[in-house]
Amino acid sequence: MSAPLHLRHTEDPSDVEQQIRSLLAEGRIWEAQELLKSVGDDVPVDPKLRDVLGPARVRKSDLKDFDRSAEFRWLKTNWEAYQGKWVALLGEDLLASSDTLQELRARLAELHPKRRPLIHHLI
Amino acid sequence: MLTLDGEPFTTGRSRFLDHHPRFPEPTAKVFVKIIFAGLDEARVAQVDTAAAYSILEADVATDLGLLGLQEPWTRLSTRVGVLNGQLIRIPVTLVADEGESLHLDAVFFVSPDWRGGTFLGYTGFLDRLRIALDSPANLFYFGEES
Repeated sequence: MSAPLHLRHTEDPSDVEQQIRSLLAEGRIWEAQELLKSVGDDVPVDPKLRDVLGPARVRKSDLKDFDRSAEFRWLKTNWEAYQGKWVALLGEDLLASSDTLQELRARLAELHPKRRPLIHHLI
Repeated sequence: MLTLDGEPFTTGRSRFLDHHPRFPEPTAKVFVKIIFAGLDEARVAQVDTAAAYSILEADVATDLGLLGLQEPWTRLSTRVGVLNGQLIRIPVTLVADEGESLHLDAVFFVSPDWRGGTFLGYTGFLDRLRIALDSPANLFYFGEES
C-alpha cells in the first residue's frame, strides 16, 4: 500500500458526500473509500454511493462448472486465427464465432448447446 | 480443499488458463472462470493482483444492460490511458470445478471505452478472498475469509 493519505475530511458532515464525489471525479477511488470508512455510518451519504464503495459481499454458491482444459487448449491453438472474434466453445468444438458478443449470444440461443459453453473475446 | 492449521483455507478449485498468446513473455497470466448473473455462459477473466480495481469489458457491460444508464462519474487509470466510467456492483460467481463456488456482489469499473478484457482486481474482489495457485497443475484454489 502507498503512504497514508491526507484526507480532506472536515468536521462538517454535510460536505463529506461532496468530498467523496469530488475524489471520485478525479479518479481517486481509494481515497474516496478511505474517507467514507473514516466517517463511519452516521454521516449522511447517498446509500448508492456507500454501496459501490463498500467491500464485496461473498457467499457460497451451488453453481458449478466443469474442467475446461479442452476449451483452453482450443484457445491456445486457435487464438491467432480468430483474433478479434468472440468465440463460444464446448470441449474442443467451436460452436460459434462472431465479431460481436450480441451476435454470438444470439447464435447460441439458436443452437441450444447441451452444456454451458465457454465464451471468450480473443483480443 | 486446502486446509491451514486443520481448518478449511479454500473451499473450491478450478482449472485456469495460464497463457495469453498475445503476450509471449513467460509471466503468469491467470485466467479463471466466472459466470455473471443473468448470463448463462461461462467466461474467463484475468486475475490481476496488481490491478487496484476490477474492470468489466464494455461488450459484457452492454450485454448486462449496464452502459448508458448514467453519465460517467469517476475515472480509472489503465494501460490504455485514463478512462471515464462508473463503479457498479455486479453479481458474479467464481465457479468451481470441484468444491464450492463463490458468489460475489463485487464492484467493477465500467466504461464504454474499455475493450481490453475483464479483470478481477484487488480492491472489492480479491481482497475478500483466499486464493492459491497450483501452477504445475494449473489449478486455482479459492475460498472466502472466515
